[in-house]
Amino acid sequence: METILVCDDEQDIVSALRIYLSAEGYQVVTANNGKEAIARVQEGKVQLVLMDIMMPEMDGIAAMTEIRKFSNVPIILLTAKSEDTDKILGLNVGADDYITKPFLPIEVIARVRSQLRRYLRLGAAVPPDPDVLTVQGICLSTKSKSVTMDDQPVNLTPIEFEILLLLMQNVGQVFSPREIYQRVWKTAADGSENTVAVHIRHLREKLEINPAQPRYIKVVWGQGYKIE
Amino acid sequence: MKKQWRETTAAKAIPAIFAILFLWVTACCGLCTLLCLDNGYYSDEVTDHLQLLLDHTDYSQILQYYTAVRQRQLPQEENDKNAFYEEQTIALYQDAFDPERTNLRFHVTDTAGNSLLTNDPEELDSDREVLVMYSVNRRVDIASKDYTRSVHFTDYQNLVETRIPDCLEDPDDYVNWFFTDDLVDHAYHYGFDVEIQRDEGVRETRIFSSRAEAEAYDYTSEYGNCRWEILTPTTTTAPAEDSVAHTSLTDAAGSVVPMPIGTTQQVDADTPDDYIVVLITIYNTQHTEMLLAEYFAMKEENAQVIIVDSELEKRLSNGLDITINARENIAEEIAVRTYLPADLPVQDIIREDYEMLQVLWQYREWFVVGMFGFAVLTVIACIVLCTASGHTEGRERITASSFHRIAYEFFYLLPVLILLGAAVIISIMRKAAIAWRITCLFGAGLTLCMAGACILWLYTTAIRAKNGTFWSSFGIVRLLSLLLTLLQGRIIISMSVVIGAVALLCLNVGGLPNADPELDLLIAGVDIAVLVVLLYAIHSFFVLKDRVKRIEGGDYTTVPPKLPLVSDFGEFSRSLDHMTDSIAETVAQQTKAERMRTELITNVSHDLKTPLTSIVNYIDLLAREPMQTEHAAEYLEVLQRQSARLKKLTEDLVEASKASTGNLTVDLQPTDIQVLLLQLAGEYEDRFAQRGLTLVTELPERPLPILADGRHIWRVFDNLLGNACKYSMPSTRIYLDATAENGIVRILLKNVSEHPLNLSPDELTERFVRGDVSRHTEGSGLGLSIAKDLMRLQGGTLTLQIDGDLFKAIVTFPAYYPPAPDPLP
Repeated sequence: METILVCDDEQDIVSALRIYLSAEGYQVVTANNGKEAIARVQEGKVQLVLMDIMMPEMDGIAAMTEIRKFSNVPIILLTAKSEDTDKILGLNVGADDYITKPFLPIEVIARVRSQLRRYLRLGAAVPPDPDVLTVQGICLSTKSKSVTMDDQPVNLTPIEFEILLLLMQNVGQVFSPREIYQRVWKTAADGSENTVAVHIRHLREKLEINPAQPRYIKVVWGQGYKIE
Repeated sequence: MKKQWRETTAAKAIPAIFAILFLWVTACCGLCTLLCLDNGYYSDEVTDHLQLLLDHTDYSQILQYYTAVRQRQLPQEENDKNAFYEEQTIALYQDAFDPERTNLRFHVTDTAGNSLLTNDPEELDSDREVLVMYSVNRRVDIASKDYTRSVHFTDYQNLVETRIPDCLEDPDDYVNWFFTDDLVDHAYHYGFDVEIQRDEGVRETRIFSSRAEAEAYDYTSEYGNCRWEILTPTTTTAPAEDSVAHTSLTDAAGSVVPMPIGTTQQVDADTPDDYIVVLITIYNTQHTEMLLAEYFAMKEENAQVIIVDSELEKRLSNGLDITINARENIAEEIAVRTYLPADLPVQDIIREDYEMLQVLWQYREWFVVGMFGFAVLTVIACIVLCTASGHTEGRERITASSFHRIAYEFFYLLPVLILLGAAVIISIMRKAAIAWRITCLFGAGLTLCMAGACILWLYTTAIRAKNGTFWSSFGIVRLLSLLLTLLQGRIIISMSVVIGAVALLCLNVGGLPNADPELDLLIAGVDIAVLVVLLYAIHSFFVLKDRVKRIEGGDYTTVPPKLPLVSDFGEFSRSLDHMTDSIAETVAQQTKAERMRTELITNVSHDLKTPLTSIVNYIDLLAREPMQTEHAAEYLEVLQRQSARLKKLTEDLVEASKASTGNLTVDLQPTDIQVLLLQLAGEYEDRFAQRGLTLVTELPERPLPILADGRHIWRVFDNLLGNACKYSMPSTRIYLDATAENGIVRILLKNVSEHPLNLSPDELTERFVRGDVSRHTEGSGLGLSIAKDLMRLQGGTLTLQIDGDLFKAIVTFPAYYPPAPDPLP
């Protein structure tokens, strides 16, 4: 089973995470600061790191920078800081995901699973399939009309599928509800484009771990929607 | 970078020096050429020009001499007067007519051609004495080409009689009058009337023993120029007591002759026939001259030397006491012929002129060539100078030294100043009778100075034109701009002050009739002082006004004024300083306190989050454990609910503190309200449906672009719609619509509250306040406060209105007019 390194200076949180992750069947090793975390990762075996940012001796950002020098193991940051700048800094330095404290255990499990699948599948080096569109963990096969999220099949309605296809074909591009309506329904928008917002929300609920803080399908308020 | 030729100092100095020299030489050549062209070029004889020169030299010299004499203070003592004028007259003779001193020769003849006077040594006749020389007539006819000219006094009589007499009455009047051009001209042309009262000369008596002896005596050898008369003494009987007989004299005709001056004879009455008395009157020419000079001095007379020949002497010797009206005698009689000897034996002004003109004439073609040649060189040197001006090594741009910041008018004033200086020097030189060569030297120096001034002007003009300061370097422009700066750019007030000041000056100085110049100067000084004080006061007022305006705008910095503020203005300024200091301190303290509070909240909530994480997680873990009793499960549910609320509260707390202090990044992007409302409706549709609410969205017909931060505006509407969802009466409708008018986009959210809203709208947006405190456990009570702060940060507003149970939230944004036709990507 995969080994996960949990690193936090708060022993209770480490213990709680150990219980949750063990219950999911993962091996758990622990560390209380950045230096220990680096040592654990250097020992090998660790396939994912869950790490707090604010820690004594060496903080999470510094430790992550060190780890990234020799390993591309997935790192999920646990942070009490909710400032955007901290998130952006963490992601830029090499974090694969972040979870803000106080977190719900279910979200932690979901993100860990997601990252592990993606990491391990990338390791398997799946040959590129022209019929398969991939954006982060989302795989969309135009041939089989199926969508998987971190290898877990996701059931989408035809409209949702079409919207996702449109967004995934144009990663990063913002589509207004009117455009999405015209291209998916293939008719002129005549005031019924408000259904687009509902479909997008459904799509987000199906694909995102925390639909209130979407990581993939993003709302650009007053402009439209995009995937990134 | 390679040093360019024009960046060298030599590139400026050499053309400048060349240009000055060339300009100078050009000017000199030009003058010489003009001299030659005007006066000699078309004539084969340089002496033609000389004749013209004579018109301007000799006669005018004579006149100038008398002018000088007149302008001097006359000596008070009679004897000194005589000596003075005698001396001056002799000097005049020497300068004008001494053949040792001038080349000018003249013959004065009567109309019959009889020679009256000459200064030609070869023809000078010692018998012809200079007695009177009369006025000079400038009506010159060039009689012939043999270097001579004749002067005729034909019009003399009429003109003098009509013009002159009055002016001689009062010497003071005369001096004033003399200086009018009219009189100068007149005096120069015609001279003045002369009244000469001759006396009889010196008389002596000589007594002979017999008549025959008296008749045989050679009086001429004894007495010189004289006449004599043999008188017969007659004895009259004296009163008895006196016993002295008085003798009178009778002439040959037997009539009684008055006794000669001072020669009253006391004759012995006993010997009436013993002797013959001879009265001899001696006429002395030198004496006559002295008398004339004295007369002239007394009368301030302008008549010049009067010449009387021996024939006139004869007329005088008739023994009559006559009044000589000189003009009557001479005006119709004489002609003056002047000429120059061919070899010009004397080194005088005439010869100097002649020699110079000879040289000029000899090289006249060269002067023409030289003038054009040097003109071309001057132009080239000027072009080189202009090209090189302003370029300095290592600088791309035109550089100008402080010299080129001198007021530009100075370079126009400079030639004027030079000319004024020259005029002063010339006036001194004229009085001092400076030699011709020095005059030439002076002229050359003056021309050189003018050339230098011209080149200086050209150089600085080129630089000013190149660096674009041509107009701004005018002193008057600078003065006006300084005025504008001092008056803080208030053009109308500045112009009013200037116009007012000029008007005041004109009124005060020009408006007073017959004002004393010194008084005028004083008034002008006072006016200018008042103007300066006025300007200063206005300036100070504006400085203070701007200061107050800046304080009003929240700028508490102190900018040192251009001019120090004194007196009450200074006091005012210091008061403002103290005021702003205390305000700034208060504001700084406030800001610091606010920041500290925000930091405190942020830090506390961070610290709260860590234990909260544990609580949330362990409650969750606890929930997975088997519960002993039913109550345990119920209690656990409360724990879960309250921990979730705590979580929400800490998150909102940070958010609220950041929003209220503006400690958030705001990234304004073009946002379409139409799309936004669509998206909001989509997000909330299901949640409203769950509570049996209907969202009625009225979309605007066209896109309504605004500038907003997407995340913040979502947060605002998330709060508003969340509240509507939570607090609305079930089975009611919620209205969401947007309008735009007068450049304001207005989004209106209306819902009906389930519970009475016993609060004012203002209280709703205060922190930790909720519409109904008793009921709800979900939410932090910070939502509306955060929403309001976020709207403020984005430049919009959030207004709440309560009308009974109807709750209205109004969000406004300034409309955004995108620069491109399609602002939304």
